[in-house]
Amino acid sequence: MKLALSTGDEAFRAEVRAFLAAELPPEIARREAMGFHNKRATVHPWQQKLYARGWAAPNWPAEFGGAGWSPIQRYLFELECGLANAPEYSLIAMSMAGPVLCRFGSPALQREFLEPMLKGDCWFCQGFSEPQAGSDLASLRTRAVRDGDHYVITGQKIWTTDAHMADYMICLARTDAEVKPQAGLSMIILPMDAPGVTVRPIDTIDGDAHVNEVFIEDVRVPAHYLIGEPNSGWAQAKFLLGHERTHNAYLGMLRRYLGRIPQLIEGEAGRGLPEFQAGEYRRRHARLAIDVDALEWSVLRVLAGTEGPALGAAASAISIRGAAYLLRAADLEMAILGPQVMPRFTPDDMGGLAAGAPPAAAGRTTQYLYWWAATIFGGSDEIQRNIIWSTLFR
Amino acid sequence: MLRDGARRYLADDFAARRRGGTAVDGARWRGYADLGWIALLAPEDAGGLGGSIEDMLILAEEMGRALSFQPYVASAILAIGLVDLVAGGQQRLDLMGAMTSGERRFAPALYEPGRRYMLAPELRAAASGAGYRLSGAKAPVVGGAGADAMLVSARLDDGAAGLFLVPMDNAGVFATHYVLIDDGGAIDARFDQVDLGADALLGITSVEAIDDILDEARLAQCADALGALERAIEITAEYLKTRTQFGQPLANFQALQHSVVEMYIEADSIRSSLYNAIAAFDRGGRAERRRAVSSCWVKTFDAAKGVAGMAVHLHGGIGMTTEYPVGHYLRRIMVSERSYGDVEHHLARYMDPAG
Repeated sequence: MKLALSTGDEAFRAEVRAFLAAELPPEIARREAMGFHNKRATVHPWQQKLYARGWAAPNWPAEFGGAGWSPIQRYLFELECGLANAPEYSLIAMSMAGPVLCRFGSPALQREFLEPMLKGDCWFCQGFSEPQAGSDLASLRTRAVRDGDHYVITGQKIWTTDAHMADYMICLARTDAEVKPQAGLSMIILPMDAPGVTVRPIDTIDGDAHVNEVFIEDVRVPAHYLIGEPNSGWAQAKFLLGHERTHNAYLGMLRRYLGRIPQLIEGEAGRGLPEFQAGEYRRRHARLAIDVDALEWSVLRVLAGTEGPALGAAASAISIRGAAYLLRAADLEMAILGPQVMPRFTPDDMGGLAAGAPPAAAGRTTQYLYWWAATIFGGSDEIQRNIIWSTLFR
Repeated sequence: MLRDGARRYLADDFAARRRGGTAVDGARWRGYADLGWIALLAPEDAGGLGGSIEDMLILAEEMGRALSFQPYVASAILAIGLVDLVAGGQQRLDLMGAMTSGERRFAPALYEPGRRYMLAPELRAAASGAGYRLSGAKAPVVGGAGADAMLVSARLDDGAAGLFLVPMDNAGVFATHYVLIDDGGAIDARFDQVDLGADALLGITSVEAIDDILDEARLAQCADALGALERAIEITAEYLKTRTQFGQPLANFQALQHSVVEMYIEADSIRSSLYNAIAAFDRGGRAERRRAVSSCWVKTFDAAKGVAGMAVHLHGGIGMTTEYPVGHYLRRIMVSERSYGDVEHHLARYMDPAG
């Protein structure tokens, strides 16, 4: 297989790079590089710049205000944003709720939500997982019952990223309990300020507040907030999964690590890191770079559409490798920095930095711990392996 | 018997932390002393119990298992070893007594900022009047928060290494406090013309001798990690038996059974590596001992973080929460694995144990 970037793609890449260099505020890039989740208010000015440029939604069709890019262009944009330490603005809104609304939403829903999302005025969270429905998503219990012009929603969601700062949730709920579990689900938009919605933050080991429990008690939602036809939620969820096939490669993030690691090694070489050890870390960096190069080609093969029936398997393999390489990259950064990453850094006061650790140390352990979550969310490694087996070998 | 008693007593430690206990709790430390856990390490001629290295490692293992956040390795094992190395006469007896009774707690301050695991001190102790004047910095000082004094390695005018006892509240000592990833407390300490009397110098020693004393602390750190891993594996197996998905307990899935078994095999081989190191300690021979300690460190910390991470992974989201214990084992190992050298440091020492 031969796959080279066209002259047009190369020019596009240069254009993205120039835009990032000129427009990305250094303070946003600095916080993003540390690896803590960016706050909504911090990222808002950046989303407005992207909106002004017409690049607010890389993944949406042009008719809805999306960038209208080819898969290769989207991928190049993500890569360059990763390298430049540009944050993602509301991943759920731009990459999940948005594409679902573009594809399945009524014109009324599209008018109400898409423009505010593009401008950065509308933040979404995703209500899929529940306490008893993790890997086994189809067993979820939250139900939405039709009552005149409304649905009444009751249930509980968990591990809900960004729920504490979201305006809306795309909520997966059971609208028909009589059919088989997958067939009775619907996606419905839930306003987070509606009476009956309670958000409780969950304290996680990485020390960066980002996930929540959401309790939903008899919350009344206008019936037209249900996306598409009732009971088509499973198909929409699968569409979402397909839409995000290559995002779980985390190539932008991995390239960011690969670019930074040699700088860390050289910095520490002047601060007590013995030469034999620096050599070991350079070799680990090279091995990681080799693996990431291969991962990049896996992504390009998916984007080029050459995978045919193996597509689902390829995406799952990419997801497993993406999380594993992130852990290796973060582990290598911690090893290079050595005892300087023993303090607990926090996003607000940067904890141990006050104690004389180099700024590069902040966020390193938080990111390492968080990447263990990447082996769990969006389908655990075990679920991905099941998909690969059943796609290719069953 | 030691193990059972320790397990019972330490069962409260994680619960106490969740109630919002501070990193260092003086009452808890005195509780350790009352049980004889500090005296266990001290020689009999200095009022200690002269316990074996096996006893010490059993306690360390139980502390890892219980997620104890008292600085036992630093302030008991290492501090007693260092005082015994350099102090003499009445001063040695007094300091041992104060430590073993839990009345005073000392934090070893051996490492310096920007010098990684190098033990040759750059912190200067210049002769000054009848005593000494200390200038320099130490970091990280694990167990420094709440300690009464630091055991500070310093370079004397003639280039020799000395160990000084420096009270935390001495004029010219500036401590920056912070919390470690595993909830323990540490400080970075700056010594700005710290004037001390002649008796603050506990004794003159060598970098090699300090490194030898550190070897006991290193083995204890490995045992602590082993205890942590074994408990994390137990918790994971228990969880898989109770968590139901797809209409059955997760433990029914062979893929998950095998993941737990792989974790067990790693932990079990760490235990064997620890026994190998204990045997080398008993046989003597400096190079052999150094080699065995470093081999145990590499064996332990090449695997530990991955095993603890898998324990988190197999729990799913709940493993990421601070309310649940399993993630705390991962955080503990992230501190332990770089406390007294890292894997590459010990790999080099293994390859050249005489160096």
